[in-house]
Amino acid sequence: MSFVTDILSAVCVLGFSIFLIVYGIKLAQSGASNNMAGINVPYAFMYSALPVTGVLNIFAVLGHWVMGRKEKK
Amino acid sequence: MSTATIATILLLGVFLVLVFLRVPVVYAIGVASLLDFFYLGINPMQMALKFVSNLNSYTLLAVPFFILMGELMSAGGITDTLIAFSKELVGWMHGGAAMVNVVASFFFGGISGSSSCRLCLSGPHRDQDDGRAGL
Repeated sequence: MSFVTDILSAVCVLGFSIFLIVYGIKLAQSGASNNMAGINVPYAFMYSALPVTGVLNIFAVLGHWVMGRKEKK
Repeated sequence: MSTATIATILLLGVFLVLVFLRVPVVYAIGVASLLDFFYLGINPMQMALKFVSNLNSYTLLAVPFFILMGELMSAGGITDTLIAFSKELVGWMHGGAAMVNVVASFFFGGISGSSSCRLCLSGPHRDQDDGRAGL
């Protein structure tokens, strides 16, 4: 049962991470043409936080799985 | 049932089911909201936009900076000194370990100006600090 809930948890995190990556890239692309007021930097840099978060989430899930397997061994 | 009612039931139902299945709360909220967005036909880009706009706050910068300050205080030895001082003050009393904790929190609160941020400052190092102080 614990194994099933762990997999479900990982699937939820991965699904949400993929959402963050896909829509984060779309948002960054849409914000590339507009600049932030005052600092004159494109909004794309601010919005790129979303895909980066998604990728880091995936790394965290993978790391969790690898560490869990190592501990079991 | 109206669409809004079904959307609310879907949101709460999915969230509760995921939480009971031990999915981390933050992802349970995210997945439940995302499903609701798809059900209501709202562009999920709105969710991504809200995600960034809510995080784009100067006030929230306090959180990582408090954690950084805690790391610096622990690495620099201020934490050890404060706990040693608190131990000298009240460590000899009955239930000294708890009283040292309270007095050290009192000083941390005075230094940082916020009583609750003390958890960020020294919470993670509590066991190590107590161990080094001999408590």
